Amino acid sequence: MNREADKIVRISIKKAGLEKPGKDFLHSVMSKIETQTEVAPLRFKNEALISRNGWFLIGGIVSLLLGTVLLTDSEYKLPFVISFETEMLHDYFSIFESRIFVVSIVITAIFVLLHTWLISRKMDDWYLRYKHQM
Amino acid sequence: MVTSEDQYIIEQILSGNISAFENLVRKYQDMVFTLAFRVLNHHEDAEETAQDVFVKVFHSLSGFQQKSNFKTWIYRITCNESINRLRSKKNKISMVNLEEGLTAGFYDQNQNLESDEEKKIVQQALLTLSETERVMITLYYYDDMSIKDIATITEMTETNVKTKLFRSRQKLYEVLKDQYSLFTSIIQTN
Repeated sequence: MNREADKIVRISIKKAGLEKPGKDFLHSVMSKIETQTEVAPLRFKNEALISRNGWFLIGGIVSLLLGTVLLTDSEYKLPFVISFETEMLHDYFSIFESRIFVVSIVITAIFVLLHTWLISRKMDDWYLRYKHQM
Repeated sequence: MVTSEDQYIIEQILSGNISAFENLVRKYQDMVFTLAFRVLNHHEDAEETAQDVFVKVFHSLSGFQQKSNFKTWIYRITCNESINRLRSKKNKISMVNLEEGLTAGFYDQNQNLESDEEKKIVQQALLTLSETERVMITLYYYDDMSIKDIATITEMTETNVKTKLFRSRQKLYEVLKDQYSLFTSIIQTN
C-alpha cells in the first residue's frame, strides 16, 4: 500500500507541475532591484580599524593606568612594573609613575579618538555625496 | 555544492553585472513561486512574496557561502518569507479564498481541459495538508530533494520530515484514491 501511495502521489505531483507567476514577474523583480540599487548605491561595509574587543582592551588598560595613578600615591609602582626585575624595564615603565604624564596621555587619547570619529563621519558624508553625484 | 552555472552567475552579479541576476530569476522563479503559492494559496500574495524573495536573495548574495547549496538556500528563504507573510496576514484560508487561489493558480496556463482538471484535483488534494506539508510534498516529489535538504529548508529534524511526509502521503493518497478513478488508470499505465 505504501508503494502504491508513493507512486500515485509522485505521479500526480509531477503531473500537476509547477505554478507560473505572471508574465511581468521577471520585469517586476528587476525593476525593484534596480530601484533599490539606485536609492542605496553602495552598501559598503564599515570595517572598524580597531575591533570591539580591541577597544575593550584599550579601555581596560587606560582605566587601569588612570585608576592606579589617581587612587594611589605617586610612590606606588605598578604591579607589572614590579614583576620586571631588570633595571632597563624598570626605567622604561617608571615613566608611568608620573601622574601628570598618565593623565596627559589619557586626555590626548580622548582628544584623538573624538577627532577620528568626527573626521570619519565627515568623510562618510563626502563619500556618499560624491557617489550620488556620479 | 553550488552548481557551476549558479556559481558563475553569482560571480557575475557580485562583480557588478546586475542584469546577470535575470538568469537566476528565470531559473528559479517557477519553483519559488510554487512554494510561496503552496504556503499562501493566493496568487497575488505568492507573487509578491516570490518577488520579495528574489530581492532579498540579490541583497544577500555577498553573504552567501558558495560552499552551501544555492537551491536549498533560496528555497529556505522562500519558506520563511511565505510563512512570515501568512502569519502577518493572519487570514485563515476560507473556502472562498481556496477557490480564488485555485482559479488564479491556473490563470496563465494554456493547458487542455483534461490536464487542468487533473491539476485541480491534485491542488484540492494538497489543500487537505498544512502549508509546511504542502511544501515538503512539492520538494520531495516534484523536485526530488533529499530528506536532509528538506529538513534544512523547513528547519526541522530529518525524523520530523520523514514522519510528516509519511502522513502527508497517506492523506493525499486517501483523497486522490477516493475521489478520482483516473489514478487507477495511471497505475495501470505505469
